[in-house]
Amino acid sequence: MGLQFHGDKCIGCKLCHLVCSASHEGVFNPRLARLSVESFYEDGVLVAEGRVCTLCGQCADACPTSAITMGDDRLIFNEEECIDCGVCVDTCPEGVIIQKEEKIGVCDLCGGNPWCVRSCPHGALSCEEVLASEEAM
Amino acid sequence: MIKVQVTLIGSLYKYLHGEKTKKIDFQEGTSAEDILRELGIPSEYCSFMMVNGLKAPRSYMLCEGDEVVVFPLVSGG
Amino acid sequence: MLGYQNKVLRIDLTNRNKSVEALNMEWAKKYIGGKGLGIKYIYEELKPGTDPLSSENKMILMTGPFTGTTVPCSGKLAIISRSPATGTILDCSIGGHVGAELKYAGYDAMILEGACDSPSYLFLEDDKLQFLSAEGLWGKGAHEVETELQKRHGRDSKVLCIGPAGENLVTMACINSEYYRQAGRGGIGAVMGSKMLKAIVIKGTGGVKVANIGETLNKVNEIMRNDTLTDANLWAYTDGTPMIVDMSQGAGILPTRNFQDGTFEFSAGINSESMQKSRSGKKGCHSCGLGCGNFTKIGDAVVEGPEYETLALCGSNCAIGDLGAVVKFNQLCDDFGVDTISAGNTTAFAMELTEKGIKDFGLQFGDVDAYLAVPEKIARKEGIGAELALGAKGLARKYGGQDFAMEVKGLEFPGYEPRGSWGMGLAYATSDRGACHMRAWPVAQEAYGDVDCFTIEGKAQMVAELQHYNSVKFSTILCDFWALSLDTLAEVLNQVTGESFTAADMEKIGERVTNIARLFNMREGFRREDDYLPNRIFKDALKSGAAAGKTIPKEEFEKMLSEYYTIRGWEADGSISQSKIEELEI
Repeated sequence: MGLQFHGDKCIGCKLCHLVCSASHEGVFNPRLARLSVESFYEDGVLVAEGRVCTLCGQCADACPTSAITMGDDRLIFNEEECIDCGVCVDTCPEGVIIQKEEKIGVCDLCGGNPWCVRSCPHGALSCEEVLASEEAM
Repeated sequence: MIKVQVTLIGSLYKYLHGEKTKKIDFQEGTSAEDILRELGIPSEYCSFMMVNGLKAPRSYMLCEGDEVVVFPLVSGG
Repeated sequence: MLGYQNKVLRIDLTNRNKSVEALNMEWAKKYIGGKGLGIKYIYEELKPGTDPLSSENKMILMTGPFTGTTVPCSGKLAIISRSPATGTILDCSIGGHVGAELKYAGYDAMILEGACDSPSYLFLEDDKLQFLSAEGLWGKGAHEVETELQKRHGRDSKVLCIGPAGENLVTMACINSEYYRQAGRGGIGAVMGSKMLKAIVIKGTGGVKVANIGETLNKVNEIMRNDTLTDANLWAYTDGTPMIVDMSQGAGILPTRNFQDGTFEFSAGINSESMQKSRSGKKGCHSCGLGCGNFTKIGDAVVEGPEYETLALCGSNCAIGDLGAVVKFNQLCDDFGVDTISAGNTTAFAMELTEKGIKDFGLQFGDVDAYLAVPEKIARKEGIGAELALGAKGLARKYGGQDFAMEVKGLEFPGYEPRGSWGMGLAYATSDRGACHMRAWPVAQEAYGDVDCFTIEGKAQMVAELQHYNSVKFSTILCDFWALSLDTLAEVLNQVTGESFTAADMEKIGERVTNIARLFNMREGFRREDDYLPNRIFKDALKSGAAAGKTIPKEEFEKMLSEYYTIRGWEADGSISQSKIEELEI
């Protein structure tokens, strides 16, 4: 369920970061993405690391106002209820909830047709359950 | 029929269903260009073909035992 | 126009000052960014006769409207200056992620002026700039320095750095990023070294805004699927540039033994098939859909590469057919900060000088041990390295062998034998920064295509058009490997900027950029006699392969060059006519 990262296919192009920030924040800024994919050299080895929302639900459990709730196979974020306490950001075991200037951002699987999966050129990201409803951008 | 070894370079190997090199039987009188047509490779996706290690014109008539390599388009270096 | 940050960071290294100014939008409308806009700035701001290694020279990092967006293959940064190797205008292109990071920090460009008084590096974090001491880094290899700087400033910071070669003002020194990507040619690393600048570290937490982002996201994704990720370009992913080794061998244009021949008996040892046996990963630049980088390991030799140019100039050209040796040579060049094309070419020249008994450098074609010692020696200007660091032109001037010093204007030939692809000869002779394959690449249509390789007919027009194409493409900035049409380029540019350029506008901008580069050179005194080819091309016939027996007859070359000037609206002496300058509104 949810997103999956396949490191052997990743070329580190950051397109996933860019489409995530663009579709949710209206700007190309990799630091505003709700996932983290890095490809880098370490001690003579090429490493590809990906952290994505696993729908573990810990953020929903931790949220004091239930601004984040677990819907049918994706998170739902109600921005009005968010009091910007930042507990979810610290709780997320993958570290993929972003702290914005105002409030936070969670991965919502783009309403069923995740942009990151659509944009990955070589299939390093997949989504088990791509929901029927496609939310227009 | 003549037996010719065909190697597809780059992403063209999908036209041999995943195999990069295959020995294929062709009719006598088949040209290098004809190979593209028979394998379903759009002619414009092939830059040139090499026969037995040397660049060959598309009109080259295949012979038994020829080794043909098909190169895709390329930009840059 | 959207896609830009509308800000230029101007850094005074002498006084450790910075200022921020608006991007000259009037110029951006005519030159877009990258190569074109960078050359315009340098042309307007540099005094004629500026010594490239003096503090009066400037170095500009220039992005384009595509940089930092999801436009495929847009992960490039242009670096522009006056070349220490040739004295011409010099624009380099480096991949990786640093160009995007500069945009995210909020700038379209960084202009470096003056020079530090001691080894230093810059750390730019959005609007905060720090001048830091490079003590402990100066003298170290580029790889060690990049690792250390990322430790200090975070792995999310992006690094440009030079190796010892740049510090020692070697005119074939390069600038490194992401360990294995370079701004390679013309001695750009020496410019940075002359400013005592060891590195530039950039961290940007902002973003890039474009016109109509929702529509842009969809449009660009569609274009990536239908235009970029097709069989026309996917060779870059499946094979990368090493695929070209077999193509050059088959077409008889693989530089062998200092361009004495066009085929190499051990080319199979350094081709794509051999490379794939030792490949342990693929890597791409920022926003790249292709991912041409091949991470290769053979024993303790590790490199992202080697690229075709390195396999040709440092492999077949030196008669080295052992992939492990070429990988090691590549790794050493990257770490010591030396351009592999110039290093391989000059090494092969020294091998021939040794072989012919003109001057003994202790180098032989095919001798791996002496060859592997070269990159460090060049970087440190030690032993034969002090000689080889002069480059092919400098070496020939000192010892002879001008006929087979394979260079134009002081920049060494890259990996395509012009006797087997005559248009390439014209491309080398007329390229703005010396012998270069990245201004026009007729090889694709000639040696690797159906156009007659051994005639001058139509080549002047072909080279001019290809130069326009690359000029405008590298101004937006896009990577070479996406073979898109000018129509698609205009479409993507309009999508990002909100403007309404046409394919004809793209061609015109390409012509303008090509001409302003020429104008810079003209101002520095370059004329027709500098658009030459070494006599080997005219006199020595290739021995084997598809172009066996061929030379380019000198009269044919001169005719082709004259026709090129006429088509371009230039004078017979190679200078640009005043009417052409006015027509192009340079």
